[in-house]
Amino acid sequence: MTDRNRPSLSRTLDVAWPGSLVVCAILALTAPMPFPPVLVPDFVLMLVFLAAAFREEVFPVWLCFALGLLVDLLGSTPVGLHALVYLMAHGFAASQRRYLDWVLFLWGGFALVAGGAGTLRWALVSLYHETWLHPEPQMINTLISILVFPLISQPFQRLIGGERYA
Amino acid sequence: MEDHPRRIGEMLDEGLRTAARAARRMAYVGFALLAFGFVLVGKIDARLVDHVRALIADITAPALDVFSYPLSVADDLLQDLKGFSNLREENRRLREENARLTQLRLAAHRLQQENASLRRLMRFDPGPVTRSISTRVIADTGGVFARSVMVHVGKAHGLRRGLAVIGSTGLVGRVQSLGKEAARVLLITDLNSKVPVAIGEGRLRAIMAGKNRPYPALEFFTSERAPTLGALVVTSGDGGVFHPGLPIGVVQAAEAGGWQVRPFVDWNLLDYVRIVDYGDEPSVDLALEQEAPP
Repeated sequence: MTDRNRPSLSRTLDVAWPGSLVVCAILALTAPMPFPPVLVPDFVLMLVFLAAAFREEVFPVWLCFALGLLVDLLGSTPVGLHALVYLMAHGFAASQRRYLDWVLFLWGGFALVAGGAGTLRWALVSLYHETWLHPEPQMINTLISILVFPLISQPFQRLIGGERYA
Repeated sequence: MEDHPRRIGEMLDEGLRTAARAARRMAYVGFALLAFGFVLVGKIDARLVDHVRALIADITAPALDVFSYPLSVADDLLQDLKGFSNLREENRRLREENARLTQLRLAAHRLQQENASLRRLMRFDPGPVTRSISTRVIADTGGVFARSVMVHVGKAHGLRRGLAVIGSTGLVGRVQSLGKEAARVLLITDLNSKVPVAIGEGRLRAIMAGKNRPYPALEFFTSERAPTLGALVVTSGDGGVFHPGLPIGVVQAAEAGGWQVRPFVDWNLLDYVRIVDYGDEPSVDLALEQEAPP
């Protein structure tokens, strides 16, 4: 048995860390804030994107799906919507990981994912409620998320242990 | 000859890699279909989703309580600091208010006595007695496209669906779904919220409809009369949705034309709410029930 295959506490923690971190972020971000939720950047999407790009081996598709369901069940969006959004982010980040080492490409990649996620959310929630909702709140939230991403992508990447794999 | 086994190995590796790529693609497609299936199930059977959500709320409520606590403390601290900065002004305002309230208390006492004697005279049945419980908001479960919050009280504390939820200044919403230990509150600003209201002294009837924006719209007026700007909006009690007379806000003109309500509640300071039961059960304060030993 090699060192890599031998189960140890530190390896178990390392494997469970990105998923646990996203769960904590989901719970912490549902806390009532003293400002409108539209102004809170989508930190969970950022973490999912970075975990899929740099720690895919410990952040599998099924975990991504389960985290999406948790977000929907805790929130008020149709159950399955965030599972779809995070699957899309995971698929993009995992398939383009070789280009995402470059900071500008990482930002551009996230901008594409955030744009796609926002459009999917708006379209699916509108279809679900059978009325076209105002897209402005989602557009504002997406824009804020894209603008904030470069400021916190490095700390987040370090937090999930991504810098060792980048 | 030596190259032969190596080429077989490379071909095997290539085959395995292709199979792994195909399996990954299948996993994405499979989970995406499953997620879409969940969306459809949620659309067809909303009660099932409500039930699962209530279960998740029960499981996560203690963790949400912990996560929301530091922010709540920080917010209280900030409010205290703001209060310190204008302590002198606040003191003067409170003295004035105290003098005004003393006058009002005397008037209320006189009216209460008058009311009691009139009730005795008319053999008036006062109807059911109000029960209520105060609780802290532990989660904002709304997000970009919905307006709802979670509180850490549920069926175990005597709550039921549809109860009115009020803040310190006015109506906040109603209990939407219930777990044993936690409940979701649909805010009056949510797209799915429709509240029958009465406006001003003329009791003009209308429906207050949430639009996912800070100010709900006024629709379906029962009269041609236009509401007065600044008129008080209260629940009308029509349809038995809410107890009549709960204050909501005041009328203001909407930017896009029409009328809307400026709620008394400050949505950014929604820390504590009171859930009120106007049902026909005996008078027991739910807060006292909660503290009583089992």
